[in-house]
Amino acid sequence: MAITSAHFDQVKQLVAACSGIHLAPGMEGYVEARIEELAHVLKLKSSIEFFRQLEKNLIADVGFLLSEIVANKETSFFRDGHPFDALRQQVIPELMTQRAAEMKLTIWSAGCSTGQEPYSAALLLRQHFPALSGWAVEIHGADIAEDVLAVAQSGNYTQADINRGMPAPLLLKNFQKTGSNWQLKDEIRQLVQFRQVNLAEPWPELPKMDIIFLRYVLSYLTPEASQDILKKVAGLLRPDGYLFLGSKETVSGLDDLFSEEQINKAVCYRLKSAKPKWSVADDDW
Amino acid sequence: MDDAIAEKPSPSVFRVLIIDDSRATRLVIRTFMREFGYETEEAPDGSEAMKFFAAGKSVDLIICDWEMPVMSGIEFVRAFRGSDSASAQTTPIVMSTTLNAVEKISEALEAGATDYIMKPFTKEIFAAKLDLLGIEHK
Repeated sequence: MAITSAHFDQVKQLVAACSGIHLAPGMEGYVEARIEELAHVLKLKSSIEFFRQLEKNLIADVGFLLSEIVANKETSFFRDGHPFDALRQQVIPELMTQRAAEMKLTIWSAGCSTGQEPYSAALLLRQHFPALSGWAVEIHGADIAEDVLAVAQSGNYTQADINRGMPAPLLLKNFQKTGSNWQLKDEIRQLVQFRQVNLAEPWPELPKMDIIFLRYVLSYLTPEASQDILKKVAGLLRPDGYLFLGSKETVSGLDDLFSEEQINKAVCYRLKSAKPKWSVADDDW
Repeated sequence: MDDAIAEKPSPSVFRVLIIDDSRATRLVIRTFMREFGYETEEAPDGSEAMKFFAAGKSVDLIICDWEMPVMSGIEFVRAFRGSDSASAQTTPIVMSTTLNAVEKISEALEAGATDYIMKPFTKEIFAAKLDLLGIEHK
């Protein structure tokens, strides 16, 4: 049975209020399929039963449950390539110079889904920057959905997951084949800490970040939620840190906070209040 | 002379050689590649691919099956990398095969393959691999 427009609107409002996720017209079929899955998890007979219970307010935290199941879970290793090239060619070498005294580097993948993005960062650091082995490198991954975080934490990926973006040399070096799946070795898995975070709610205590990945998140949010989250990102990013968004995503409306910077084929964003490079030299005088 | 120039592909056109004994697989990969905006050449086995290069032709990317009659993919990779073809050392080769054991992937890389795609594949899988290789696509 197709979802009614009244039920779709009800779900849309619950989800937007809880997580800022925007369910656009045309997503009715997607939402209906996810609700069928949720009904099954909740041991309800069908989505009809789900909506019946919803009307009677019998489902606790329903906005959150719905947000978890409709959140976009699409990801891949080294997605788009360019941002990771930028990391290797400029961002990490530059940060290694700037953080040489404190020897600390922090990376946050917000909306990390099944973990391919933060693990790609970990693999890149391990492969290209052996000098970081003596540094305190913290890589954090956050997502609203518990099921994707369970996959992320396991580091266990299907062949289809691996096929999407994992370079064969890195696969051989860092994974073990377990049946038809591939298991990321513990030495890499342990580099990333995952936690469940609803980006639209107050965030847990996190260290200030040198690099924030907020990729393919904003395009699924309401404009209001996007702006709120970007403002919080601005507060979490170190003054000379780097923010990466998904391709075609922008900081629209917050041009007073962020400036766009092109690194080869990648676009990233820096805080406008960032200390200009020449002032570091001034400090040295 | 003018005709020869006119027939020469534009240097900006990215060309891919698809080596696979399955016509169906070649068709699928060809479709993906053309959707990415590339021109394609095809060979049904490694031996035919070697003849293509021996004729002085070159491509920007090679996608190669492993198990083929006459000359297998791994034999082709070794032969091509060891050849005096002008592009023998620089053309990326992506092995595309059902063989997914660690030993096979390792063998392919040691022979000179640049990367590896395990069948079954999708257009998104090829797109992700092209992104990794820094190759622009539609």
